Amino acid sequence: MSIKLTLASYKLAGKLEKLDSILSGLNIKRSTLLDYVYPNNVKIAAVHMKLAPCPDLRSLVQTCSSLVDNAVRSGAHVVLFPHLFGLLPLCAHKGAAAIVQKMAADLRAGNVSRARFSLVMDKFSDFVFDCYYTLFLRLAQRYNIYIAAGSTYVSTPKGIRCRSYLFSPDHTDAFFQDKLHLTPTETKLGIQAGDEMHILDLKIGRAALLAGMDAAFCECYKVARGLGAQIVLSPSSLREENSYTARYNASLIAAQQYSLYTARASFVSSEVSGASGVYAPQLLTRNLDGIIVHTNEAGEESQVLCARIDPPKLIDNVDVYASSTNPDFSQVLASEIYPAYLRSLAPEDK
Amino acid sequence: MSKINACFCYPFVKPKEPSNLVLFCEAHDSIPEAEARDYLSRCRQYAKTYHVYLTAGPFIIQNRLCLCLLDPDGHPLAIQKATYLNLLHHAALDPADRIQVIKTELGSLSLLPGVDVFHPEVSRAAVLQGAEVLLSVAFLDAYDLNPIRSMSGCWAAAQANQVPVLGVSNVDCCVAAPCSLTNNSSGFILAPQTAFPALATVYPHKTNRLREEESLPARLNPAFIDRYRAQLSL
Repeated sequence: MSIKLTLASYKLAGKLEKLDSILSGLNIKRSTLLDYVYPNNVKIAAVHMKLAPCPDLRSLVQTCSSLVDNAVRSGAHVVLFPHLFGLLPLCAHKGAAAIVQKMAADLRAGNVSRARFSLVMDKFSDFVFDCYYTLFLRLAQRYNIYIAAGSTYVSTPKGIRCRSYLFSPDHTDAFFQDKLHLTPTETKLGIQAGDEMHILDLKIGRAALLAGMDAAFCECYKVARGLGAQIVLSPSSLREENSYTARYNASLIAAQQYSLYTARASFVSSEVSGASGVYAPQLLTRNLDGIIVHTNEAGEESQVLCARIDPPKLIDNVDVYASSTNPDFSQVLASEIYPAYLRSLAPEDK
Repeated sequence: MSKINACFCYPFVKPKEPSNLVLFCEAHDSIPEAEARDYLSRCRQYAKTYHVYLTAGPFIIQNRLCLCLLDPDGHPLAIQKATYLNLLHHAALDPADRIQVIKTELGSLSLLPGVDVFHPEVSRAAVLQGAEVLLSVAFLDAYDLNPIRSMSGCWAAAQANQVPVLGVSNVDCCVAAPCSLTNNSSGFILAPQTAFPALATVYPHKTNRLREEESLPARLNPAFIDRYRAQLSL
């Protein structure tokens, strides 16, 4: 189910031409892998991204292009970037850097109000979104690769959303998925949660995007599986949700519980830890450990982890511990237990 | 403020002091129905003799795989039937459709028989109904033993629901808890070990406080849950 998205109406005079001009100067070799996809031989790339600011537009374009190029050379059909990657253009906006740095520090101290956040969004969101959206749309088209370009904050008629995008070389509009579960900070800042899950029908299989905290909820995986997803792409946030150790993470666990291929891309630095990788049900992995490729190390450079998956093989995966079903129990959970619990959380009607 | 001194030991072996909760490491996937009555009678006597809560089982009654929680007087507090089944060993049994929460002086407990611990919906259902501690008794075939099996069971349930999970199988035992409350953020109060008896101390009030400060289940999106009730019912 692809959803059409209208591009932001604000036009940056001159900036998009500069972006195109920088892209034209790069030696971009178009991949042919998506021209015909053999269903049993799909490759996913996950970017394990060293957190570092890009001081200008050229640096941003070169960084992103280099990572996509790396994925293409590794034979990937899709490349996944970390959560909130779409905010990186802020570094390239000369007027934004100082303001955003101050706000980030205040956010950590819990000192940012909803009004101040909205003000910053109003001032910079168009530039950030245009740069991010246009850059990755161009890269996807020129390299001929799917790009799950992390996520960003977007102003919509229904409020500010945290939205993940997947850019396809065959479409001028990107697929998207709104974040379904918000962090306490996001709630405080007035960001609105989505309530719909989109399953993307790609040449490589059926995929879902679960960004940030969404990857920590078993309900998301269950719904994704129920809607036919074979692959879950998780742009991951700066720190491991739920204080998972970097070695084991929600993507790895969910691959076992729901018989899915999962991929995760994280930022990493000397201060923040994250894990990136591609995971599968353990019976489909060589060492029976659920890991096809994985890293949580903070190296000098960003890494692009690439791994082959076989989506049709998921049908044959029968884990005697995890594969049984119980619709009666699920029915009780969905119709009685969830509603009762959520009602108990709702503020009382006066 | 309750404190659980959990002892994992072989069946009917005297528990280590100062235990108030015992989980048996049973060698078989289940006690057959013909032997269940005698087995439970011995369990009741054991609980009464050593004045401990005892998780007895798994055993089969009326074509269902069950765990039983006995109080220190040997009285059965609850029998929990498995909601999911091992497709190799118990495919012919009938699953249950509910998970119970048992209020005790140790806290509100739920029992996870067999493979229930590998199905995240079961531990989620227990915690949404008020469970503060989960007790898992599983059976693993030797060729299925690997770290990811442990992680995707007790450990994952503890992280996703922010509760301690005491797990025992035919080969090992562990106590998992939210990483922020454990040494080295490992997520284990007692790391998986094969040596019995094993003792571990659990303070349910610590995880209760964690959930009060920042509850993960409380972040569930009601509109999303409502919209996809059909998929969640599968």
